[in-house]
Formats: sequence, C-alpha cells, structure tokens
Amino acid sequence: MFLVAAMIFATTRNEGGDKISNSSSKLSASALSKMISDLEAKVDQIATTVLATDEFAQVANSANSLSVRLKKGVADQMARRMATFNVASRDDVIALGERLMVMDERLVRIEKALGKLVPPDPVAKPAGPPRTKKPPKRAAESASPEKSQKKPAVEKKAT
Amino acid sequence: MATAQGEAAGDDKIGHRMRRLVDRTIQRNIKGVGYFASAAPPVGLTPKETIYKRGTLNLYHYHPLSEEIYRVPILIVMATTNRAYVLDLAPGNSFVEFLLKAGYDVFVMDWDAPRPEESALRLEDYSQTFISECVEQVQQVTGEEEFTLMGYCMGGVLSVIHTATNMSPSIANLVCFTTPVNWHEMGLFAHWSNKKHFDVDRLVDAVGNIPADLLMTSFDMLRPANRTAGRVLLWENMWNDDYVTSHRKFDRWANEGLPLAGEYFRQTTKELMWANKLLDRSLVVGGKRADISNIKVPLFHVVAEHDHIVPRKASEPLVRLAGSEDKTELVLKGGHISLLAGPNAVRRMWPQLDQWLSERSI
Repeated sequence: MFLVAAMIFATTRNEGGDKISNSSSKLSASALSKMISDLEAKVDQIATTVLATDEFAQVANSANSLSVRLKKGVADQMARRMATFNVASRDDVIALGERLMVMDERLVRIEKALGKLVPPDPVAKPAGPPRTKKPPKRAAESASPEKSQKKPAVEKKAT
Repeated sequence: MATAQGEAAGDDKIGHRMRRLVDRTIQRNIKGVGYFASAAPPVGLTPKETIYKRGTLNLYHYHPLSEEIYRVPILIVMATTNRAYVLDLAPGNSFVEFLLKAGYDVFVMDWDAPRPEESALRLEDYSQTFISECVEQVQQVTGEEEFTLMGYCMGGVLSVIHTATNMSPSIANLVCFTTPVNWHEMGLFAHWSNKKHFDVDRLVDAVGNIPADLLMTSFDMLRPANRTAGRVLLWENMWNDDYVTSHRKFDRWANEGLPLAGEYFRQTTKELMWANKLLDRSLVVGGKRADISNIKVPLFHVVAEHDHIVPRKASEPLVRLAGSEDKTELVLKGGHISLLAGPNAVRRMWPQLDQWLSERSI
C-alpha cells in the first residue's frame, strides 16, 4: 500500500494537487473494500460454477466417505489394541454414557410423575419487575392492542 | 500567485495523507502482533443464569434491564449448528440486550456439542421434548402461561414444527428469522446432499454425531473467497480497534460450530432435504403431523434478500402457508447473519420487531 502510494505520488508530483488527491482517493479505504468485495464476488461466482456440478458433489462425497472409513478403521484398530491391555475403549465409554442417559431420562419421568402425585407448593409471586409494561404510543399509528391483533395479513418490505 | 497557493494547499493535503498512511502502517504492524498474542474477546456478557440443563441443551434466563416488563416472555430457540452468543455479541450490538432494554423477559435455548451417547437424539427430541421442557421452565419462572416462541434459522424450523404440531397451546406469537421451509431451494446444500451422491446412512452409522468441521467446511464452501477476503480487509483495518474487535467476535462465532446428533441429522436430511416434507405438509414428528397451515398464532418472519445460506425461495413459503390471520413478512437487505446482528439489524430489524411484538406482548 505504502509503496504504491509513494509511486503515485512521485509520478504525479508535477501535475498539480487535484490530480494527486484524485489518485490517492482511489486508494481510500472504502475504494479498497469495494475492490475486495467485487473480487470476492467474482471468485465466488467462478467457484460456484464448479461447486454446483454433479462431478464435484460426487468427488466431495467420495472423499468424505473415504475419510470417514479411514478414521473408523483407525478407531477399530485402536479399540482392539486397548482391549489387549484391558483398557476401556471409546465405545465402552460411550456405552456407559448411554446407560447414564437412560437413567437420567428415568429420573426425569419419575420427577414428572411425582409432580402429578404431590401437588407442588403454591408458587410465590415470581421475583422481578412488574409485568405491566405497555407499548409506547406512536403518534402515527393506532396503539389499540385489540385492533392490532385483528389486523389482516400484511407484507412489509424494508427499503 | 494563485497557482502557488493552490500547490501549497495540495502539498499540505498530500502531506496529511502520507502521514496518515505511515501512521496506519505502523499501527497495523504493532496491532497485528497484538492480535495474535491476545486472547479471544469476551462475548455473551449480558448477565444471565442457566435455569435448566439437559445434556446438549442449556436454557438461559437473562436478568431484566428495565423497571417494567411486558407480560408475555420470549423463548428464543437457537440454531443447532452454532452457539447462541451471536445474539449477544457485545454491548450495543446485542439483540438480547436490545430486547431486555425494550422491556421483554428473555429466555434463550442454547446448545452444547452433543456427546457421543446423544447421537440417538431425533427431530422429536429437539422440536418437541426440549422445547416443551423449556416452556415449562419459563412458565414456572414467570408465572405466565403465554409466551412468544422465537427461532433463528434451524431454530426457526424447530419452532415451526413445535407450533404446527400443537405441542404448546399457550404460544402467543411465533417469530422466525430466515427459516427454511422449501428445502429443495437450499442451493448448494441441496445439491451436495442429493441422494445420488450423499449416503447419509453410511456417514451417520460410521461417525455417530456429524463432526462440526464437516458442517463448517460446507458453510465455507458456499462462499469460498469469503475467509480470504475477510483476512485482507482485517489486515487493511488492523489500525482500527473497533473493526478488529468486531471482526474477532464474528470470526470466533463462525469458527465455533457444533456437531449435530446423528439421528437428528439423518432425519433432517431424509425428511426435510430429500423429501421436502415440511413444504408438502406430510412431515410427521412424534406421531403428529407438522402442517404449517395449523399455525394460527400471530406470525412474524424476517428474511434477508442476499441470504446465501437460506435463499429467499427457501424461506418464502412460511408466511404464505401459515394459517394465521395476523402474519407479517419483513424482507431486509443483507445476509444471513447481518440480518440479526449487524448495523442494518440495529437500525431496521430490531425496532420493527419491537413495534410488532410490543403490541402482542401485553
């Protein structure tokens, strides 16, 4: 950025301040951002034509499938080695976790059933601000909640 | 004489510009080192407490920020692929903070990465069981039956299914952001997951939960040049602390994707992406038909014109098919994320949502 600006400064030094300020304004931050955005959009457009092809989808999914099979193969080998050393494998730990989940769900069901059998204590008034707020009146629009709720379907487009 | 004075003024301008250029280059280099050496910026700072937790699910209740609040609380359902702190990025750029200051009582369903043993979670669990449990918590805490259900992206899909299957009769309003209904119009996502190329059963049976990096890579591939362009702009603006802080927060969120529970992913792929059952109203979840025309509550749907993740054609049918008499669609310029958490959202979407919702929250 600095070198480019210096080159422009050197070549246009004798052509007057206006031309120099025009040249340097082309390198302003907003111009650079727009240039990068335009370039990004172009690259995305070109890339999308490739990404949207059946061939790419086939290749990407095959590569993903291969990667998954490899990982699974490695995990299976690891599990066999760990079994040799009498160490719990990942699948063993997951199985324990699943049993804990089942117990957790049972507890939730038991809690709900107990809640039905034993009436809960009367709920004290919840703490916090009062729930009495009303929408601010807007001079341009009707503030009646009943009228608003009966409004027919409306489509709005923001400008 | 006039020419000499003009030249002198021009020289001053050039001098000022060159000084600024040199200054920024020096700052860029110094701050660039600081960027890599410093920790990630804090996010999600609006005070809250976790009032319910079950495995992958967390339910937050935010502390009120106004002296008086609306009667009807809001329950926000976050998309299952990302963390909810995008709704609360920073003071002044926080959707949650805006709602709290506007006088709403806010609850948010956030997700942790599902554990391996949670790979059996299904669409029923997410759209019915989890939301119903959170609704119970909201009703207990607030003492109010009615609530507004609000969902972003896939969170909107879960909210739509929950409402359409009449799981909670006390829903007062339904608010959705960029919620896909016509999954055949999901662009490259629909193409890559076409059953001709994509064997979802083999993937889920092999890995259980779908890895987050696989999902994030597919999001990145929708705009392949985006990351590089972002880094170039970051370097260009490295002297600007506000720009860098904002970029780091968004970048952190974009990189902290979540895995998806295997069965939930399998069901979403087969029944939504392949069979498009939500659009043709044949989706059955938990034994109940999720027919969008069953939605009768006031509906507000916000969509983005330039949404590259949920194209307009994918989200358009929601308002058209809903059975509500009171329904509004708001179309905004911008993209999938800037719709909810960007300058355009702050200026346009948030106030319009407040105007609509305030009248339906008393």
